[in-house]
Amino acid sequence: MLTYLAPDEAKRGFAQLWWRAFAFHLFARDFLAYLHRDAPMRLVLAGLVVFALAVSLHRAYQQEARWILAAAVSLKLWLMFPENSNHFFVEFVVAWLCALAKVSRTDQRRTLIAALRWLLVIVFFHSGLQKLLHGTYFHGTFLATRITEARFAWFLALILPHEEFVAIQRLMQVGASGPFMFRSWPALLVSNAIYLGEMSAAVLLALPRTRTFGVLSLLGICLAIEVVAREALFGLLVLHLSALFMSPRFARRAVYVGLLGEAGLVVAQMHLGGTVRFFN
Amino acid sequence: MILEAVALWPLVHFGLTRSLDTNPWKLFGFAMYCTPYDVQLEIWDKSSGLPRVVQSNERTAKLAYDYETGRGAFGSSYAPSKLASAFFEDNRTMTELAIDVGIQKLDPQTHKLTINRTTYHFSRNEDQ
Repeated sequence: MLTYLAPDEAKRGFAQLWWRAFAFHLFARDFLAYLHRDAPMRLVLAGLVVFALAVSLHRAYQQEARWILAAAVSLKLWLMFPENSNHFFVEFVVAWLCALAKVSRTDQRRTLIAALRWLLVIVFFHSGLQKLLHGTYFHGTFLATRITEARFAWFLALILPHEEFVAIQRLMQVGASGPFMFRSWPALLVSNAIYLGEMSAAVLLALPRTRTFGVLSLLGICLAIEVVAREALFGLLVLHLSALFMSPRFARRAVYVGLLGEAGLVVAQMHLGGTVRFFN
Repeated sequence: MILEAVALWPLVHFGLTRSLDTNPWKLFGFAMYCTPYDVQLEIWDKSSGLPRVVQSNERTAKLAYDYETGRGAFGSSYAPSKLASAFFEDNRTMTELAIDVGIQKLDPQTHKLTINRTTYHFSRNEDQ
């Protein structure tokens, strides 16, 4: 079952590049959190990731570098539990899968990539399934309660008729209990497309014939997440993971785009200071 | 083995959010953006006939935040005993304390925000 998603080839150079890009993602997460909240613990974690990256530069110690990274995420789990985000959990599993696989062996590299591909499929499928089970997207109930949040409000103003937007907004502003729901069909369509999109992207990724559509729909979902929910670092993690589904030509480019994005966020946060938060 | 656990856990997680009222946003169930989950705490001094609200200081506010986080993770079985002890320490004359814990979530049937309240009672003799 695991090898069902194994790639035809898994070059060592790409595997190493991918792991370093993933490690840089972890560094960006902790360093940005340190800059924003001035929490020294996050600086220590970012330092551990830099140490792992430095160790990985020596060809003989690449496996040890992966163990250091897995130890760093384990320390983070221990220090922050139970406040860890779902995003962190994905990083935790990725770091441990990378540490447990012997990347010098071709068969294990293929198995590792298959496992990481499955992880992305599982995350998106369950993300959609949970919305379905909680039942708050059929009538736009959850989105309607976000109407007073700036990052959602501008988008909801686009898909809701003005009167409906004002009516829901007023309900939230006066602290009413509801009911919160959409009546106009474009808004209902968007609300239902969210969980359907996540689940179908997962299925499209899992099937070899539809994988390209899967990657495209995943990137579309990521773009929507960036534009509306503004979960920049989650989007970049998904970009890294979706690179594993791409052909070698596009995969490297996707990894570099991810790296550039993370470096850009770090530079921007350093420039803006801790008072501005624009990432998640 | 790791992937099987990751694939099955969200279903258990959903069960926990329903049975123990845990926070869907936490504990790795990928159920973020499914429902709001706000913990609302009210602390009442019930030593005399007329209950009055007890104000927090910096220490108890921090403990209240810790409790809110723990309540989300461990659910309704997680009692605010530590928080109660801190309030008794800060209010020497208080003999009876009630901590009212409200969890605000969305009801998918009515499309309304509902608050599920649990009140925990503590008395100084039992607590200290």
